[in-house]
Amino acid sequence: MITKFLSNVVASFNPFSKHSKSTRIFLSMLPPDARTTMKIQTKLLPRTSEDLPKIAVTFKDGKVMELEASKLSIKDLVEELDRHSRILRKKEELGGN
Amino acid sequence: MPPSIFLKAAARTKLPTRTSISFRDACYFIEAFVNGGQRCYASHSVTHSKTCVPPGSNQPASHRPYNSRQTLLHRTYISLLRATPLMVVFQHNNLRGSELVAIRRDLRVAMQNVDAQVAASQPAPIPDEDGDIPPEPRPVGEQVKMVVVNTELFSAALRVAEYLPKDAKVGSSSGPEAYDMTLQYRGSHPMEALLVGPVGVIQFPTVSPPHILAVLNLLFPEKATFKKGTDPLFISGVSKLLLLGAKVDKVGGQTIDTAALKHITNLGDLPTLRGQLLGLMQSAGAGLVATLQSPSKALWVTMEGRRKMLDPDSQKSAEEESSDPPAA
Repeated sequence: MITKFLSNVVASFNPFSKHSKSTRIFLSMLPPDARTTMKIQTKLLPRTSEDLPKIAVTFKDGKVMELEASKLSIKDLVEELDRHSRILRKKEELGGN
Repeated sequence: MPPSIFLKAAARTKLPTRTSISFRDACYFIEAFVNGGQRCYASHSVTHSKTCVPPGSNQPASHRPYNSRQTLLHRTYISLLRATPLMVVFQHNNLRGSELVAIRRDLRVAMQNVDAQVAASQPAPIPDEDGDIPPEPRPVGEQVKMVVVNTELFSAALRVAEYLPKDAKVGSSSGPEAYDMTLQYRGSHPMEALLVGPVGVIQFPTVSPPHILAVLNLLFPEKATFKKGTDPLFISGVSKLLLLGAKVDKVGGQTIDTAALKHITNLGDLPTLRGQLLGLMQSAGAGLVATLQSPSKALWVTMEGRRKMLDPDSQKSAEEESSDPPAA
């Protein structure tokens, strides 16, 4: 997963729900020094909550992506985020030269 | 074993072109050569042998090979599940080794501080008849441990610990029979939802609210405020920890969420709670006796009143002693 272009990550999930699997794995995929390069907020929902997990990611160019993590597997989730990250990477490579 | 035999074995079993070969692989090739078998490499992947016992030993049978890490962990987790009255489950997101070391060290120091506080608040031990001071129990904080668990193996061990009938005749809890008998319960325990991704547990030897409170404040603070001079590795490590829930009461206990866990920290310690329960039970007993007594008492009072009304002598005496209440 390309995490270089993420600036803000907000995730909320209920740990007792089976739908929160991909959200939790996504959080564990952020690199060890992620907290120095981006803002990460995690909200734990109470056990009785029926709310579905949510992930909101802000990219360095200001684009906000809100993902319904309960419907996506971790592979799909990474694919969605990387699609925009690759565009940014390409722009950076072209602008740098 | 002379090298010529190994070379012959390798030639006969069509060894793939490799620059180096491990000792373990070599042993497999030689075994295949001696047995005259054609199947050799990759045969040591994972065997679900029903008779996995070490040769010449009375070790109980295991589902996985007896000398594998999986068997060792399965046995460790089962004993942990059976013996731990409270375990706190947390997620660790990409912790570095040095951060984990810093967290473990600070946890140990904090537990020692709590132990000292608890010991100071308790009365001094009373010497027995011989004048000996009874030995102190091992402090709780010493036994609080933080363990990173393998989620798949932990849920397999959880299944066996929770759902294996007590009278089931299985050789061992890690054995193939125990595995087969509990396989149908896959995914049914509420704790299994927590066992996803990188997960660890903090195990407590007893439910001791001051220790739980100290752990929650240290590792999962609601507002991250650290003392001056705190290790930066510890700070960065703690920001990556996520409290998920907890499991209480050993086998057959409940899985609770963070709100319930915080409620536990507000309770008093066990002797205080026992005292409260005893007071409650005593007052309830006294109330019950009073309730049972009241109809017969009322009946007696009515009858006695009627008797005094009808009896002229007592009426007279009652008039004389009108100021004195009748003796019960």
